[in-house]
Amino acid sequence: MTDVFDPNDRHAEFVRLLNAGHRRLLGYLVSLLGKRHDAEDVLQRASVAMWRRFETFQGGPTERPEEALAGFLAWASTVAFYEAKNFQRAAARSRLRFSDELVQTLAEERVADLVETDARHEALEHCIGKLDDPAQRLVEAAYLEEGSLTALAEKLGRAPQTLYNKLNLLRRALADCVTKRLAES
Amino acid sequence: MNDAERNELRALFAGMHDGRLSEVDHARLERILAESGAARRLWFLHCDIETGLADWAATRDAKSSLPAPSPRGHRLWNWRWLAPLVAAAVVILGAMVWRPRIPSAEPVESPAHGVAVLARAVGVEWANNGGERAVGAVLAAGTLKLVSGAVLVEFYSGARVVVEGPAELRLMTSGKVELIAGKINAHVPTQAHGFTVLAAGAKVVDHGTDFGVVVSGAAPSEVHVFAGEVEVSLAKSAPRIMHEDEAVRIEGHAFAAIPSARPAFLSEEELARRDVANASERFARWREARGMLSADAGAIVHYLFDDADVAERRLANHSASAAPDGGASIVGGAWAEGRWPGKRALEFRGEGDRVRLSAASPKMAAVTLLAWVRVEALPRWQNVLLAADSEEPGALHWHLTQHGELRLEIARDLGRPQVDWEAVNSAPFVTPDRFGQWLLLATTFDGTTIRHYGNGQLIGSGASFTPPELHIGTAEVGNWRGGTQRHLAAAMDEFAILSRAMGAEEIRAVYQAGK
Repeated sequence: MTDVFDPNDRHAEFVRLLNAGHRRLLGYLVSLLGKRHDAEDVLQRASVAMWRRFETFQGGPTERPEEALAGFLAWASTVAFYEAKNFQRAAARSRLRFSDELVQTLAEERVADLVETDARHEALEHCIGKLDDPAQRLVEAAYLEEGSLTALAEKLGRAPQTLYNKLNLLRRALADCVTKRLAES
Repeated sequence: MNDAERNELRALFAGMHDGRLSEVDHARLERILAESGAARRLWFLHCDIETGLADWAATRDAKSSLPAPSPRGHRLWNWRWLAPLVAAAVVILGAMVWRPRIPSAEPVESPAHGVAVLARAVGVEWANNGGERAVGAVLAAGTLKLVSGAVLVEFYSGARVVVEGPAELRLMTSGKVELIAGKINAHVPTQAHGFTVLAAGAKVVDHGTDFGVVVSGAAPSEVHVFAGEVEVSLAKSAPRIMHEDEAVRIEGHAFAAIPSARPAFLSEEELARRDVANASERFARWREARGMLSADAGAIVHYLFDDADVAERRLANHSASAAPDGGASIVGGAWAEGRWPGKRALEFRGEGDRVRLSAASPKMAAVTLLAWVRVEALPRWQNVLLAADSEEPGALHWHLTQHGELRLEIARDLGRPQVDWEAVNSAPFVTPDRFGQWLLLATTFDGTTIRHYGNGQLIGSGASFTPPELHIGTAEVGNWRGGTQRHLAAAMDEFAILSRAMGAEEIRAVYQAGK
């Protein structure tokens, strides 16, 4: 069942596709699970499942890399979807989560929405560049490590809620900036 | 959507990303997202901003801190599982460090937490709140509470202590304990000198000895020296050196000499004798009870790993309803000792080791999978217990994840060229502290719900789709036929498949009869 392809080439292809699609798959999972850390855990498990099943994935002959990637993402997002459901079942008692119906709706719409991801990230990079230094440092602290914002608040002698409020204002401003920039281009 | 609505939504998004939403806010967010397509599109944008910000922070951090080593709590995106898969991995790895660090709650190296090992346990009833420990378990600092029975604790320092229940012993370090209640018999070799026992206000420091200590609620505490010498001190008196065959009773703030009574303390040798007797009793009990499983009308496969002579490379299927050819071939593997002396087990270690079986099962709507295993390590992401050859809808894959979770996967046909696999994981159960112990792993599926059991306790469950039928067919135990390494590193001494879902009580009974 395994000797129909050269595993080395197949593996290289898998890594290439996963690398290319990683950002979008992560964004897909964040939209279903909410927390980025959860999405990262699930994606890691899902990538194992993907590799296991990769021999059954038929990308179809295509000369255009973008088409091959889209085919991979459609397949990979389903694997990730099941892994997300599995994760939510296991975590069901310990945290709030979206209902199965909502997750289903989000998953369906999000796959089509993922074509926007790269443009959003590009715009975001431009918008972060316009933030002042303290704002950039706050973003860095908030996103580098789970719990680090609380640690930063302690270090600065501020209430964590104050920093969360600041962070939320920054997120809002960045979202506005990204939207504006995308509308312009 | 007006500005106020948009801002409210964004506050809810932020709460969702940070895991800080109240139940009420969560319900509100869910309602808005369910009702409004515009809200969902905004949510997707914010999700991309979330991952984009994380990317940016990681890249910036990587630039500013190179070439410093990763601080704890960070790790590279974990691709290690891919490395052994293919020969070209090394070449590819170079290209794979494209991910900046991604934070994780998981430390890169876990600190050592043990101070001792539970070497023997005979007839032990553990106190409810003291937590049950298995033989071979690493003991962390904390309290051992025995209602009855006796254990041997081997400290990392080399000291060996027999504890007789009822007893409560607090392990503080590998060289220090507090006897809160009960009786201990300590043997302290040269390399463990200075081993200290705190007992009811007294401090007993060993100088190379065998000694016993008794603490009981009502009567005064006693210290008995059987060999060598110990130093005993009380808060308000000078330390007293005690020699061989001396004993004292602690009365208030003073010592009173009493006759030494070695026979009153359970010796290691006697404990070992009891252990052997106890094991053969349990072995006998299992031999009586195992027939129940074999005779179950639902039993498709029941391997005991105990019938054939060692040269035999075939496992007999003891299931009463088994087809005449329902046996299995042993490929590789080595015989090892099973749950009790005299009981054999098959050890899976090498890449090729497996048991290959053909279970000509009728159409099944439900299933129970049972295995007694002693896991040595979980080096791979998938460590197969049972894997059907077939990838038809309804095919089963049962394995342990690298985190020690039991996982059942059922193949599902969603009308695409390849099957999908729905899976339910348990909570982590086969964690490193349980490596080296005999464990009963069981998973049931009743057509709607998958339930996982570890040592008779429910350790996870989840809903599954209902496949038209379940398949075992030709399958492998401890390995699989795919292209990646997924073999088990464990010994197995009983394995069963039933075509019905056993209940929690039944599984507990199997555990009780086989532990």
